Amino acid sequence: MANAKKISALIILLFACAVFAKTNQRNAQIGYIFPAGGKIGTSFTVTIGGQYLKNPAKVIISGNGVKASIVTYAKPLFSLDKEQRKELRAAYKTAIEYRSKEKKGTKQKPLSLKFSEHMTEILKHPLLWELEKKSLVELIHVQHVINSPNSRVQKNRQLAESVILKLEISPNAKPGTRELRIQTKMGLTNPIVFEIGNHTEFRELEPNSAAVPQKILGKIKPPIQNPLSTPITINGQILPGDIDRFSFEATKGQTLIINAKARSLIPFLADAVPGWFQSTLTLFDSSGKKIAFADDYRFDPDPVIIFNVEKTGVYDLEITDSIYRGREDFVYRISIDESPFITDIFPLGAKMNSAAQVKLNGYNLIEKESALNTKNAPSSIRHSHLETNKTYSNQFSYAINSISEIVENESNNDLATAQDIALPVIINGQIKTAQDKDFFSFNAKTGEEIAVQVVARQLNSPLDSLVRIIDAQGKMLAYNDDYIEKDKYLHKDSSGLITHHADSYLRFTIPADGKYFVNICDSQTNGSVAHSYRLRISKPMPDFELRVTPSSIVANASANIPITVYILRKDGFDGKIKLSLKNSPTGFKLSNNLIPANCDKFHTTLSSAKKLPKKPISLTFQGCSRIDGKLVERVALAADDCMQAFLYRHLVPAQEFVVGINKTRWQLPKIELETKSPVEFNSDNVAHVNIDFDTNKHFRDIKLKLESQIEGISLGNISHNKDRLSFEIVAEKSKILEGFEENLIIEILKEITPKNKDGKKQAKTRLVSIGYLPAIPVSYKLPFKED
Amino acid sequence: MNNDINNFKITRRRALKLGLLTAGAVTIGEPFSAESAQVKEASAKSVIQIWMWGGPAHLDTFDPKPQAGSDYCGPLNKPINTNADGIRICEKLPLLAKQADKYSLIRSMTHGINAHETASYKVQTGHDSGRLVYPSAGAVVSLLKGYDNGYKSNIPPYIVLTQPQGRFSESGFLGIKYKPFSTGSDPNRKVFAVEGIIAEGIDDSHQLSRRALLSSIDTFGNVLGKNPLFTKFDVNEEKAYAMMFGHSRDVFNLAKEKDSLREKYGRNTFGQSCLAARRLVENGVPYVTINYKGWDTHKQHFQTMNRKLPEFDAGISALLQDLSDRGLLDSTIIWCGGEFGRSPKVQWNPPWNGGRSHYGKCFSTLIAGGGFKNSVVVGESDATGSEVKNRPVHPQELIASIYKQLGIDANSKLPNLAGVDTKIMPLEKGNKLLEEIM
Repeated sequence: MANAKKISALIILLFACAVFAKTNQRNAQIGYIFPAGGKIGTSFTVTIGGQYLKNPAKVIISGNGVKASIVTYAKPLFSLDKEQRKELRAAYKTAIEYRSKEKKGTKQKPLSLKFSEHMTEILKHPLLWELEKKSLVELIHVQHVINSPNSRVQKNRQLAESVILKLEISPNAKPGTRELRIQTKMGLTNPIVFEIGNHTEFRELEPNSAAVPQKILGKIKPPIQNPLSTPITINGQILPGDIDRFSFEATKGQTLIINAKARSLIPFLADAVPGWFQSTLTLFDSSGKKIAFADDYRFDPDPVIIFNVEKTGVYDLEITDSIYRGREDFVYRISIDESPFITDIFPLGAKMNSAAQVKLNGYNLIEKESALNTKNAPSSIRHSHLETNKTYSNQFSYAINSISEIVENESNNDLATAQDIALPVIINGQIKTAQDKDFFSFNAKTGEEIAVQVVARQLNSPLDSLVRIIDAQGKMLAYNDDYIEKDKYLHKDSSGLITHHADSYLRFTIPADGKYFVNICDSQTNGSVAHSYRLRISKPMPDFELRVTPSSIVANASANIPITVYILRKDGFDGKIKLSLKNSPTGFKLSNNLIPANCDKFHTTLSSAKKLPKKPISLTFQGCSRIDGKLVERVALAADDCMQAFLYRHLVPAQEFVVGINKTRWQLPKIELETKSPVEFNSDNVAHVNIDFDTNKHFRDIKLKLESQIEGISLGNISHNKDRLSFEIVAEKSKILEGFEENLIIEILKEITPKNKDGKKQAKTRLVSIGYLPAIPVSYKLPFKED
Repeated sequence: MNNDINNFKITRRRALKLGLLTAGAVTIGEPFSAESAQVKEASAKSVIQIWMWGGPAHLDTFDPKPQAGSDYCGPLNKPINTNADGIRICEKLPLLAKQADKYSLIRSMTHGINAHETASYKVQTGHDSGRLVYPSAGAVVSLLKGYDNGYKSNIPPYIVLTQPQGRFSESGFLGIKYKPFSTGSDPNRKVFAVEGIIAEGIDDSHQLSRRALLSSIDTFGNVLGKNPLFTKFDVNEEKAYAMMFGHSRDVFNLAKEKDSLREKYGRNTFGQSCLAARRLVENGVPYVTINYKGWDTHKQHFQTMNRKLPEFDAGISALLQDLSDRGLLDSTIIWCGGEFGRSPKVQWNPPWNGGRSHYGKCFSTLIAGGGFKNSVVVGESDATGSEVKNRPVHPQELIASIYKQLGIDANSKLPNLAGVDTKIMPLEKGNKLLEEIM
């Protein structure tokens, strides 16, 4: 019995090790969801494509009003063997014959396709799912995709596994975006965006492009697709070379907003150039004449066509990728409706706690103004939309700040007519024409530092600002076109989605008492009422924002999970920040929470308790710092570090930071750092770390590994006895700057010899991860020993 | 008479000829003055640049790190000894291992750039990206050892096998005249149909009758035949036909080589490109680039290496041996590398699933022949190949060293139409020539 328990414990350990090993490098990952949305009050199935999705256990959806259940999981459909192909061919034949007879009106028994057990798993694939229910055209399309030598099912392993979910959207659900994650044995996936709308939803049925049907359908004529009635939301996927075409009815006098969403659903693709599905829309009239085309909307890659219908009739809409790429994750949603569409607002924000209204411009607007929520918002960007009789407009963004605001007073197009201002101030202005150049003048004293900041593109203004500081003699002293905050290839802008950082920012020290001018214009010499801006001219106002990555983690009991916090320091803020969990959630704490001064990227671990909540939970982090004597608290946004086109990276905000709970019986023994103070180096450039580690025999012979390489830091000797683990951290003097502080994230590895099916141990051993130590703060304060 | 070529209508055929000839670096304008770009006594006459487009993984070629563990090495963790003491290379390069007495390795190349375009520009020009677009080493050699400086062959002095590189302007501010002539086609095909020289399926008599017909209908050209511009066209036309029907064409005829030798190089595009490169330098072409694609292995890197490395191994080792056997290695520099290396740490996670990303911080280059010493390792990377441990070598140091072996004074002025004071390959403070192998 005792032996059985030991074996059982070992199995659990091995299983848990496998889980941890995989979580390090083989995180469950979602690549796409199709369709990427649904209508309020309906239930429908969606396909999730990704990798390491086997054994889906739970679906986690942000917000309210959506329930999900797992229907099935399907393996990749890469290589069908001869027998499987044979069975499929027979099934297609039967089904196609059945549907053909059905079309002719022949009475038949319900279609029943029989397959061998060999096919059970394969038939779960979305392409073959519910084969008996597929239409004639669908069957031929499936046959074509599976059998074609140039099959459009690409071998992209990261998209090859599928999970079919059933989603139920409550009639009371609020429209908008939700995030969906799946918890599997391999961890918790990244979030994927899907939308809840209030239009009828239409799901494309391949083949639906103008050219393909004749080619693959042969003698069979595709059913004539009845023109769609608006309002409608069309869902589809673009495969390589795919052009999807839809017909819809339009009535003279309508202003239809044809709005495609693709990049906004999956903002960045790591392995594609450009790094997203760049959709294009083309509109044709009933004679086939092209009447409109869009491949973007201003600077937004997602296209919008404003269609003023001059003649009642049927129109065709085509969507494709701009360079005819395609893949399963090239998912789109196109809404065609007469909903309000806001093109621009003015002003682009207001002072905190003021009664503020903005003027709205756009199409199909009933209301021309909207009140802003200005309540207690420290320097933040907020989003809103119009809502009338269950009709929702697109979203608009505005900023709330704490200093005085004024509106630009034209004409102020040169130094002589510059508008006088008193600092600090935020000026709400517009570059109305290509020639418009707004000038503002102020007095300043020697040595004063002035911050000039434009917020426009961040609020969806098309303005590509250029700011200059000019002295009283007309000499330009400083200028800035685009301000990009990045760390190597990681772009750290506040929205996470901008790829053209058009907003300007500069700081300038006044050289002598006198009058100075700030000039703002559009660097591309464009202008319109939509080219609005908020121009802050003030002394630097130090502040910060925080991003916590990743936005999805899985916690075992008594585990330490690495997280990374990015600090977006503003106006020269360089102070320390104390990181904490808001509302003190039970079961979790931060291992080391003091972000050092000047630190832009902070590694730490989230430690879980022995007893954890049963359901996944959402955690909120916040940072606290003393700035100019005042205590400043900022909530950290959850985000994911997403790669664009093999190189550039962006911190894409998520709606929440979710912790999935892993209910394995196995857990690491209690691990406590002997001291919470930063570990310091001795004169030999070695730091000794002691950890209370209640080891048993399963945790002897463990190895340690630095999670992220830090130049000049390596791990030295390890030793452990029954309840203590000791190891050395070695610093290379030439590479470490004195005074630098860092948290070390250290992974615990165990050598395991897997067994064959016959129970014999394999010859090869492998190192598997069994978790992490709590983040270990190190400090390089001591003078180093001279080499 | 308007001599402005931009305002002058020419026939399509003449345009094609013009295109061929400008690509062939036969001048239609005045040559740059090369008086300040001195060519001195050289140990090398030619360069064969094997451009591993996309960036080969240094850990899986010339700088293996088996001790770094599977996160870094993946399955390629058993490097092999070479015939040079202390030099080990990837186990997938056994033939090259036997030729290590003919080359040296630089294991500390660095520029820190991770984007193809800017890294290609840096490695091939030695300059940082800026407003002035510098020419590649091949274009500089074409300027200083090409038609402007005594090169007489009908074969253009700067050849690319087989496709243009496309990621940057090879000729930079020197202009189109110094662009490489890209052969097109595939030397592994039965007929290596070099674009504009060998027309597959059209015999010589057919081609010559076409010329006669063209001449008879070119009435405008005949009437204005004494115009200086037309005279230049005619000279160029003669040269083009000489290239199409003379000895030059034979240079591209790989069928003249023994089958056994062709097999040794490898019956694939790369292997036969190496053989074609040997034939070109043998015939005096000063700069040949083999644009060897397929090294941008973001995904399933090791599967690609299993396919790619044996092909590379056969081609380059046969080239080294062949050049050596013919006494050409001492006068021919082999420069083999890409725009960067690849990330030492394997990306096992989706979507990469065992890939390596771009890595400009530390990478390797093979250099051989042309007076460079053999069997030397220059520089060293750290235990994981992530950092340069000692003797960082920047692209400008390598290019300046190659120029030195070619007798080109890297500090002399590089003429340009913009009139900007530029030098061929100035070395920054702290940079130096590869004295270890010179």
